[in-house]
Amino acid sequence: MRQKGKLRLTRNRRGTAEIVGTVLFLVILLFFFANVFLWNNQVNSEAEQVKWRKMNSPVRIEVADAGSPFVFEVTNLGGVDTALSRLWIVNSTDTGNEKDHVYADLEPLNVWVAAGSTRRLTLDSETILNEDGSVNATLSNSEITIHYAPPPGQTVIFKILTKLGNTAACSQEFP
Amino acid sequence: MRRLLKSTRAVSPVFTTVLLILVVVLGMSMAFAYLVSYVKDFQIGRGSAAMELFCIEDVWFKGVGGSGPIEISVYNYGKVDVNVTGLYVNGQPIGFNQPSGHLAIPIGGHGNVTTVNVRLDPDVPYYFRLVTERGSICEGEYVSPSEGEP
Repeated sequence: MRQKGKLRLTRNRRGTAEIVGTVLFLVILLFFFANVFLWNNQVNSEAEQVKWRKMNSPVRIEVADAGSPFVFEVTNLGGVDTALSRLWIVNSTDTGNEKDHVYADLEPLNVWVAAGSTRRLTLDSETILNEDGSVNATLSNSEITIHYAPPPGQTVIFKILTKLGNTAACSQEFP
Repeated sequence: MRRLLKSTRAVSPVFTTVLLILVVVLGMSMAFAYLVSYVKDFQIGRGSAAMELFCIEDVWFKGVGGSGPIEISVYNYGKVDVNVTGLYVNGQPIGFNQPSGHLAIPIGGHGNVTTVNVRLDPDVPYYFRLVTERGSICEGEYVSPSEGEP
């Protein structure tokens, strides 16, 4: 009797369509929301990675030689290599010059500062500006030259910006 | 007419089933299309806000002691393009980059936010807050130089 009832249950196809439909619907929904969840997870992971790299690559800029030529050093204090983006040169003494805030674009030079290491930047005796108004910078034999002649008797602030968004600054009064 | 409407004799089970399927399919299609478009908008907009990373690299106060613009240089070091749509100076909304009123910065790019002329007092800290289209914020405090200095 029991066997007969079981056989009847398995052979009965009523309601199968509803079950198949519901399962398909749930699979589609799951697939869709899994995609959104995975995308969100990836976005957060990428952002955290950038923030982690930024946190682990702070930099310091300091005057290494105040003579002629003027040399300053950029040190990577963190454990992650970083690339330099821009060197801002701000004349903090009033000159009435429109070029009081200029920058040298270091991105085309692809200057990297390895973790714990130092790069030297040398100021040239002559100011050369690019077409876009930025200060010309050149790289030769791992030596970075910034073609900016500091104005005598004025204080200049040098601010370095890395590609990961870290900044550091130092100032120097030129005799 | 009233009788005709009240009569259900003409509505066959086949017609009812077709009608029901049609309503369900249409309804579900609309709901799914709305959901897909909502998720797409979210991914392009607020959802990508986590990847918006930008910083203020330089602030130039022009015309301290009088009235002048402030030039703020911004760097985008994030993974998506940034569109700066709002600027607040000491909590007050300030117009910038007129007439467009916004600044689009590509990934790894730099951009300048130039405010309308504002009263600039010397040796005063100014608190800047930049807001993007997606709602990300970048803020910082910068002291204006002494009078006569740039």
